[in-house]
Amino acid sequence: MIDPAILAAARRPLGPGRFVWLASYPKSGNTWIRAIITALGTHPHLFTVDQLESGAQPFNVASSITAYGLDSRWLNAEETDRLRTSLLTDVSWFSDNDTETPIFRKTHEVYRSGDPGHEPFPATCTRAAILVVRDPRDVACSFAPFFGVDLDAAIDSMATESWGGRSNPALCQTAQPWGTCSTQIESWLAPDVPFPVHLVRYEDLAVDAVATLEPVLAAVGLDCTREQLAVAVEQTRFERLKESERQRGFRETSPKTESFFRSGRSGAWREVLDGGQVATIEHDHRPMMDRLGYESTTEVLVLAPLPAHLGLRVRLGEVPESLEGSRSPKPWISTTDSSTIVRFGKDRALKVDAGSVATLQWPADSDDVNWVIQGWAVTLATLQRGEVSLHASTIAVGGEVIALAGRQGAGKSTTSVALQQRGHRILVDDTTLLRFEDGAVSMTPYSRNVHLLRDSADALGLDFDELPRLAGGRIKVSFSPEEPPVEPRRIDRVIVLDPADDCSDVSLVEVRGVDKVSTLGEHMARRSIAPAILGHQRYFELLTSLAQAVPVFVLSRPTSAWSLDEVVNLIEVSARG
Amino acid sequence: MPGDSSEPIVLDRSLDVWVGRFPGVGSIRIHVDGRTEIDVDSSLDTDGSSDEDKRQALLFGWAEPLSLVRRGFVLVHGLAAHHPDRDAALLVGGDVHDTAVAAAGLARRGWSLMGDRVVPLVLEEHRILVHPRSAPIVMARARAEAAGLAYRRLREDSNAVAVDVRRHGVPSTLAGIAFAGVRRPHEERMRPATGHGRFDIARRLMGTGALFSVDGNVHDAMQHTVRLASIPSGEWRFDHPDPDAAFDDLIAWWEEL
Repeated sequence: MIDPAILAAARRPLGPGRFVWLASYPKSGNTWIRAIITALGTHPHLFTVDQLESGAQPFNVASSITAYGLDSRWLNAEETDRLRTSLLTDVSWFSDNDTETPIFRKTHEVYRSGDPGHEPFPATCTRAAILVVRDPRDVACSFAPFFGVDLDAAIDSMATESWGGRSNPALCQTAQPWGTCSTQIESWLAPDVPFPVHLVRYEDLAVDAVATLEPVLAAVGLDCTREQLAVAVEQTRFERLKESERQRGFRETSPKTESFFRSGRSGAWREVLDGGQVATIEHDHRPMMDRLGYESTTEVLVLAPLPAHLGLRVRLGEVPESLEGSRSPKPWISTTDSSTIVRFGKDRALKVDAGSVATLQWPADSDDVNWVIQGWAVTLATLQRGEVSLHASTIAVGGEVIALAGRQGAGKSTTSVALQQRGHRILVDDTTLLRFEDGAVSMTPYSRNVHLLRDSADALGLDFDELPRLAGGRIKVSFSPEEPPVEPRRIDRVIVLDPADDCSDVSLVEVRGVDKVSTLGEHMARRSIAPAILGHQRYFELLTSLAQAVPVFVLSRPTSAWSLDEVVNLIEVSARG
Repeated sequence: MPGDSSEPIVLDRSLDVWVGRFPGVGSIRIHVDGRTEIDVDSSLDTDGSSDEDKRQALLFGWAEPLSLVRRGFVLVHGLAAHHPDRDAALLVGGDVHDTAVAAAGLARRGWSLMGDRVVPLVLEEHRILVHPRSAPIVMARARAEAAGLAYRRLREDSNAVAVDVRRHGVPSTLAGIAFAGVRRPHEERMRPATGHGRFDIARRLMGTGALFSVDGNVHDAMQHTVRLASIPSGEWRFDHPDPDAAFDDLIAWWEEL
């Protein structure tokens, strides 16, 4: 069932202009609607697919040479943005005096409002938008051949906000951000869009295009009778468009494919995608699919998205039993220079490739498994990129950035949350990704769930029973403490939390000389397999660089008869120098 | 003074002196005889370099094309290149990406370039003459670097550059027209146009709107198109990202004209 809020978006008052945006993520059916609209204005005997109108997208400002005699390649990015707005709002160069007939313009961009004079979709010249959507599983099947990539790459692209964000004055183009398959759609359905947005589902068009389009075209002011629309729909049946393309060509066909019109069927994904690909798409786009009434077929793990700056894409799917020519530093790990498989039991496994793609095989009904992605996948990818990470939480304490290292159970997460409760900022919990540059060491913040045992939660005043449970049999809760910044932060010191039975006081002592290397070595993340992936020489170079760049302290405390406040006080004093 | 960037961009061709204004960049005036005047909206930088960049943008990007219209040239979209062996000009149509590919490739192969984006023509009784433009040849920095061409940047916050290529500075007879595009898998690299195909290429090249004389009419436009269609033409398709093979086919076609 479609989200009722979407239907309400179509009931907003019409905007004052003539433009009707035909908005869609690529390969969603935009061209089909444009074909129907073109056919409505063309004699049936004369219509061919190469006559399609409204294909000029607004990011292309090359028409300024016709409108103003202006070669826009001489403008900078900001001026190019203004030119785009001007070309849309300046009616003086339109060839007719008609103010009623809608002008349809295709766009794949996300909707955004923009500053005055820089509006990418100016409300003053807009009447409405028609948002064309399609089941993302079918989009993937069409996207891959059109752009000449395999299905996995298509699925990755559909979930990545990376395309078209920069303007290109040399090609007379403003930025043209597509967003992801989800965010593109969500942007047009957002409540602050100031004109009506009519949703058209490709699947509804396929069942009955006349009934689907008739009310939408009437609402945006395109005069046509039901009979005329029926003729246009008949003219643009998929087989006819395909045949027309075969005979006459179609200028919008990608150079990477022989034909623009391939299958056109709804639900073809069932014969094309494998289970892992379906699960990945449903994981990536489930909220959007739910809103648009596309039913998921799989119970999909709910994974918190990794921030884009980590450069790691997560897929769900089968992980092979082994890697050819691999080494096994542990019985459950096999690795080559570029791929690593970690098995967590019979039907649970993780594979990380080339520092950029993680494939997770895990039962869908599990509790939180983000620890596998946020911990294992991220640290393995870091190793594959030639860097290391520290088994440490990192907190900005006042102006100082402190990495809190320690073995499992030493209290890294508990201490981090206690510092956060005093107003300090958690940059990451448990896994600190290191970057080495010009003799300094910085860390990459990212959101990693905090894991706490019951007694730690109690000590922090948190309700253990109300927090999400961590998967994997360990009786811990797992939650996201706060959204960290994106920019790397330089690490000012490392403090190793060291609870010991023979310790009587809470104390802080700096480690010097060669002991720094051995102390840090004990707290490198994945230290048993890091040398196997990085090579021993690189691993020890990085370890030594870390020891040279950052002061290291050991914070000792008894295992009983101590207080969290004492530890936190000492860290705050340390941070003040 | 810098203009208010929310003011509209204007070209007024209704008076004797045409006036164009791009707030924040500056203004142009084009007199009846084609003479141009330029006023730059000054920037706040101290060395004035961006003012000079703006002046060049207004001159080459705006005033010169409109001046050519006022001086009675017929303007077409595309790139014009001259080959010394034949002392004749080739016109390459297509979008700015496709003509930039042609510009870089032809420059590397020893052609001299006469102008890009818009090209002024004179339609004489028995021939069509291509006139050189004074504006630099422009392309994306990445394309210039890939072609090994020296360049200078046009503006801050732009990827467009003016390339240092051999120029041909005197009018030349138009001998052929190639309409450029990226090749699809099943397409030939050079397909000579015949009949309606030639007219279609000519139609796609013709300047309209502000590039068309205010005194011109539909009849003139049709006549110009028919004249242009009399020149041998063809659809030229290059492979992306490696267009080299396509240049061999283009030049083989050119040599047979």
